[in-house]
Amino acid sequence: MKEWQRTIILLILLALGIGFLIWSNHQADVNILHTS
Amino acid sequence: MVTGDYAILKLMPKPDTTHINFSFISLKTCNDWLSRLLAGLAVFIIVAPFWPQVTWWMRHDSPAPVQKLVGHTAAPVKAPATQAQINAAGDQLIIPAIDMKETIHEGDKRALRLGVWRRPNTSTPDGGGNTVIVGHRFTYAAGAAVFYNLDKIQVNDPITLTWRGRAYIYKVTETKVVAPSELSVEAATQKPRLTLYTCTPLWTSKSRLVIVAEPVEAS
Repeated sequence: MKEWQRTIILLILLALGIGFLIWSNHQADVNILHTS
Repeated sequence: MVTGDYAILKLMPKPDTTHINFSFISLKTCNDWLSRLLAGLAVFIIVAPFWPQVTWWMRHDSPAPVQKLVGHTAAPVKAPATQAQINAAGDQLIIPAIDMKETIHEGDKRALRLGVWRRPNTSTPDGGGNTVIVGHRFTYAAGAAVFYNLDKIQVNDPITLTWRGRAYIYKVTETKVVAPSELSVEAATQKPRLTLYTCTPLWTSKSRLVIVAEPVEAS
């Protein structure tokens, strides 16, 4: 695998990880009782 | 482009895309650091949800050296006993059963990110009625997981609120799980009452774990 291909895969995985954290925090934001 | 130019281009060597060198960093070095960053992120995502539970086990079921490792002070959380301690504490929620001592935050929804939050539409300890305090069970970065161990509270456990220079002592009378739409949890009551709630089961927002406590005495 070429270095630039590896870079793209790593960046995609990093974006997925950060996206998961943002999604998770958004879930927490709507956790007040009456905003189910 | 004329034919002669194309011939010159064909003679030029192809660029080596496997070792692209920027002026300050090579692509390989960049990938190595990206890999480390990704590995750290993966460890954080996997370990963080379990970490409060692990520290709980270390504090309660392990010998002293391990307790030192997680920075646990051997002294358990206690309610303030003197007026000076109450004044120094400020507005706090103190639950010795789960080693919890947290400042109560006021304000809008953003206060929830800071820790435990008194719902502004509910009463205060000195006002009688239903005082409702909420907190996150677990989040990665949207606020502290202050109520991670709330499910470990049992009926008859004491809870102390220090509020505006006075200590209010409650005893847990009920623990229950309700739907997220169960608004009666926050309804005003005739008698003074403390209600705590958070999400349950752990790591989900499917239901709400509600702890109801009634006052024992006020000092």
